[in-house]
Amino acid sequence: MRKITVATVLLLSVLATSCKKEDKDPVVTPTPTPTPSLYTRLGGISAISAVTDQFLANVANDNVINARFADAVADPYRLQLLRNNLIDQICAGSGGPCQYKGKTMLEAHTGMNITDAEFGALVGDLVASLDQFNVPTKEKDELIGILAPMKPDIVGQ
Amino acid sequence: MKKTNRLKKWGKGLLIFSAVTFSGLLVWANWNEPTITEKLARIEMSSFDLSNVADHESYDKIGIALKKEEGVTACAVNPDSQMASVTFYPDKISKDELLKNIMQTAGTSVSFKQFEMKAGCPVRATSEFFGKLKQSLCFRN
Repeated sequence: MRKITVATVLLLSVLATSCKKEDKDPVVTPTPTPTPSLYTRLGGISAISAVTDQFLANVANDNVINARFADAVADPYRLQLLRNNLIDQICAGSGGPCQYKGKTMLEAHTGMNITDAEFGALVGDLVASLDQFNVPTKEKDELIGILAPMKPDIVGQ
Repeated sequence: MKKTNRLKKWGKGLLIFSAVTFSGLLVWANWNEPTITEKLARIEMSSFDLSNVADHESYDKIGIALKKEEGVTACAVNPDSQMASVTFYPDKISKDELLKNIMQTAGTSVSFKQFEMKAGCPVRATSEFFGKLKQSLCFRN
């Protein structure tokens, strides 16, 4: 009797599930793939440090502005500090896991009387270093767009 | 006898003071984990005066030769300013080796470039001192 009862329950449950009204195919909304951050698209910290090194080499060769960086180039500690600050700025600005700990642009450039021509030369050296690593135009423009608002704090202070 | 005891006391006090100060500096230098940027290998930069290099072809050859060197992270050769600048890992290659390489490639004498300084770097001497001290005492790199 008990065996019959168990078998009946099992049979009934199988029937119940097989006869279950099937839902209509649910509407699947594709989840949008999140756009990778500029930091990721640039290639991460190793790519940013390579571009920064190239940028520093370009600046050292640029007679318009290399005298401004003579102090930093001559002392390995100061060069490392400048390099690290540049990498941190680009990394943090592009959404990377860095934090810029240096002085503000205004504090760092007050009293230096940087001219428009010098700022333009610096941007040119940065663009040249990005071109050397074949950084796509979109990423290049995004990066310049992040750094360009710093101009008023740098020029004419 | 009194003088000797006094000197011993001073010596002991000085020793304890030095040990506590040094321990404090060690803790300060290692308190925070170095950032992702601080963990990057240290680089140096050297610039070279190429005014003795006559033709532009040699500039291209110099650029190619420098990029092939192990330890060079970046290289720029500028015929307009008659200069080459190189960033490199100092534990893999020295600036003297780079100079030798350039002279061999160019086939002429080349010297290090000296810059005229102009309204210099805003890093203060005191912060530079403490920065260098921290770097040398940090074991977390």
